[in-house]
Amino acid sequence: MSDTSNFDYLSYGQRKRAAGSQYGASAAKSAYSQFLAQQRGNRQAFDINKQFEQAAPRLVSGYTQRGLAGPGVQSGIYSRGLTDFANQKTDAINANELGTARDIQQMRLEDAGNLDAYNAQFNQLEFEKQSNIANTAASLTAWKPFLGA
Amino acid sequence: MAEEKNKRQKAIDALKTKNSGKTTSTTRSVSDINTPTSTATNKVQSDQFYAVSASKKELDRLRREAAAAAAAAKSGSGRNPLNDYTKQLQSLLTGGSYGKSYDALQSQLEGMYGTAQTDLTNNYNTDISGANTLYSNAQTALTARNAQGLADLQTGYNTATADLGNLNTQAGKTINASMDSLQAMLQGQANPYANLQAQEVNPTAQLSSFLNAQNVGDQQAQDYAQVLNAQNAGSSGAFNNLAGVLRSIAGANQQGALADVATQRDASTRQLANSKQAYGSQLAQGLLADKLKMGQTYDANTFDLSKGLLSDTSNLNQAYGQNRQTYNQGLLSGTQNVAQDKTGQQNALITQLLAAIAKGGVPKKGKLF
Repeated sequence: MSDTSNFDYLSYGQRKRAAGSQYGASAAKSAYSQFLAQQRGNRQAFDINKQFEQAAPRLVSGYTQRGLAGPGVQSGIYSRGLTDFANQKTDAINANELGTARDIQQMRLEDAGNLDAYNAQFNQLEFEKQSNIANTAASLTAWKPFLGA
Repeated sequence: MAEEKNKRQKAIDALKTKNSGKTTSTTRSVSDINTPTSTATNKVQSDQFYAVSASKKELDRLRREAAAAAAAAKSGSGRNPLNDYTKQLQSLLTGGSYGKSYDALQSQLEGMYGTAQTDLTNNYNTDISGANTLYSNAQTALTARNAQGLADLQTGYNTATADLGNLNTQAGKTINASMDSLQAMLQGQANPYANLQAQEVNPTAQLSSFLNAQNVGDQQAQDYAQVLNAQNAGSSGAFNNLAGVLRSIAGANQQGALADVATQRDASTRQLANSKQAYGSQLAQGLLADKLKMGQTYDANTFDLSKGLLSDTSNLNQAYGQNRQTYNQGLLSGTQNVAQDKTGQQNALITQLLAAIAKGGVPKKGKLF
């Protein structure tokens, strides 16, 4: 039988608020980090597009100057070169999106972990509190004064 | 009662004193004798006889009267006073009139003691009856108080038991409310990993328009994008697997917590039942102990009352017996005194008669006395 008089309701409230604050702060921080990551990804995607848009005419011009491309001319080298160019952009875009997605994913994973930890802590506190209430009731503490104890 | 007793005792003592005075006066009164003395012997006897109570003056008067009577007898003139005196003494003795006052006194004595005995018995009976009534009333009051005390005790126990039952009911509700609250909170808690899944990245083939504009097919670019998609899907799948594992763990933890709530509810409910049983038993034991104590007190008080009644009755009996004995002794003593005085008076008359005869007095013919 637990001694109900030892339960510290003040400490319970303080610990509960501390856990909530800690989790809230980490969640806010994570949300902001995710925003920054998304913003960074978007900016990098813009840069990639811009780079490839600027590079495309020079690439065609280079093949043309070397006689590998032009009106009535279409070499395999030219085709493979342009395809590689396109694939490089696909790679770059994919890497950028994937990186951003993985960063955000990791943050969300940490968020979930933090929430899980917070829930566990909160549940523990709540369990202690409600168990204490139940044990207090079960011990019929209110009856003791009637027995002169 | 004591005052009456003292009054009676004083009356008896006064009677004794009066009787004693009368005895002395009767047995030694010179006026009753009035015997002439002519010889030295008679004078000595007379002196010895009168010396106790008669005064010198009275003694001298009696001697003169006796001498005058003797002189008259010697001269033979007139009536013979000695003969008259002798005959009077003889009449007193034979008629028995000398004893009437003693008989009356004895009768009065017996009447007075009889009345006193009757009063004593009446008082004794009244006292005994009073004591019985007093103790009977006390016993009745004690029994009533004991019955009331037992009833109050039972009422208090019943109230306490009802209160305990109410408190137990309330405590049961509190336990269930507490556990219901905890259970609802846990059940309403979403799995933190519930919505966690990989963000799909599905790259599309880039620059298809550019390739087409340059008369370059984009099929290879499309194929390449598909390869990347496959790679990305593999990576996402791994992450989703991880999320799934974490979700399962969190779900299991939640189920465990709910099971803990059920366990806690069961333990608290059982503890409540035990507490109620223990306190109920404590109450019952307390009631039993109080009843036992009250019974012992009642028995002790009843015993004290019985002892008191016995003691008081014994004291009354003893006092009654002693008083009766005192009264009987008083009556006996008074009777003896009266009888002695009467006999003394008779003896004195006989002595005087014989002395008168010895001096020449002539008694009546026939039986002397």
